[in-house]
Amino acid sequence: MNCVKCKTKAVIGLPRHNAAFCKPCFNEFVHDQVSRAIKAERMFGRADRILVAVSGGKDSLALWDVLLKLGYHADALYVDLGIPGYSAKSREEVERYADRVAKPCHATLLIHTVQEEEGAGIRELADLINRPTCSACGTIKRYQFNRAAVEQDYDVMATGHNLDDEAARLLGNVLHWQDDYLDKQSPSLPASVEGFAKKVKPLYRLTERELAAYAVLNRIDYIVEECPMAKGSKLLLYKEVLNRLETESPGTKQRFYWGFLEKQAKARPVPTSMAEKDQATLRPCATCGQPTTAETCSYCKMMARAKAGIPR
Amino acid sequence: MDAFLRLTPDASRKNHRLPLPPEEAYDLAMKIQLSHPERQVEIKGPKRVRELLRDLNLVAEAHLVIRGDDLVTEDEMLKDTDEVEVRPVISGGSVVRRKG
Repeated sequence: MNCVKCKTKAVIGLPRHNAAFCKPCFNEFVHDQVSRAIKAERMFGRADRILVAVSGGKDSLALWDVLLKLGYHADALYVDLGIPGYSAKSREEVERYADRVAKPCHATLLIHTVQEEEGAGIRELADLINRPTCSACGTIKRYQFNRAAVEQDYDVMATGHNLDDEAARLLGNVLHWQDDYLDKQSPSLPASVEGFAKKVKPLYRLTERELAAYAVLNRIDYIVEECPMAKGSKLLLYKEVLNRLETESPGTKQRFYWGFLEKQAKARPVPTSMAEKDQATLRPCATCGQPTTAETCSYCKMMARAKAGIPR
Repeated sequence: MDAFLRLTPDASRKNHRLPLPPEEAYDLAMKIQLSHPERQVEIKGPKRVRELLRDLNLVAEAHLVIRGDDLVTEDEMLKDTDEVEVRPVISGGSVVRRKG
């Protein structure tokens, strides 16, 4: 199999594009897809300060790498959740990448340790408030990333969600007709109210396989074993189903998700309607001041319950 | 016929034997590193990457095949001396299996 651009030996075939690339041309393809996403969704500009949410996995480290290579001002935040046997390893990968690649590019790694601020690891917190670990984890990460972005004056927060993540989430939302969630599936969510950072997903045009290939080819070490808490999640099942379809019919995932985005854009100007909706429903949390639909935000409620339950 | 004759012991040369391939050649097979759960299997080559994934019942879209430090495409031929990693790419790490 030869590279469709330069005709040398290919390292990866991309059936959905009916293409194959050598390493330099594949890197160019990945950078181009990210640039197209940034431009098409008006995510950020050259002067903006970006905060990348990194986990130690392939997607977020690849995102940080691509943004730095494209010349953007991209710092990163890692939230150490204190998951035994997992968090230490993922943190190590993030710190290694930060030392090797990010620091020479004058980019900074910020670290938030759940154990230090919240007083317990994610597992204990979830047990204390009697909620699934993934749900407590989601609340903490959303809260801490948003807080860091707002408090430290970043213009935008970027996450490593890829085409597989978005297509699987869309499938789940459609299967359950969760119309309200469909609005939030845009790759670019505005800073609709005071206290909310703008959130973008610059990898929505790339698949997980392409991002893993990018990490391997560019010697970006990442945590291959996945979070032990994620086993059996519905999202994984949706991804499996979509990958079977993709293998039989290349291009299925992009037609599904990008097609949804096109239809949504034609139907109504989403960012405006979302911003209006947010402005009508959100107000500052009575405890911390971050935007919430309730009197107290879900993070503060969760922490209050957890702190009341933590034995001294 | 020639081969038969050559294999027939020659009375005049008592210890005549055709050199046999070394014993390990019969045991040689490519070593495949798999994840979730982490394990190693041996599969007899030569075999194309596409066929290897099919034999392992794995979906190509959910995996990368790495030989040494290099990615290999689906049409690449793998040899018995190769050490190969089949790496799942799905976040959450589930193994996606093909139908049937």
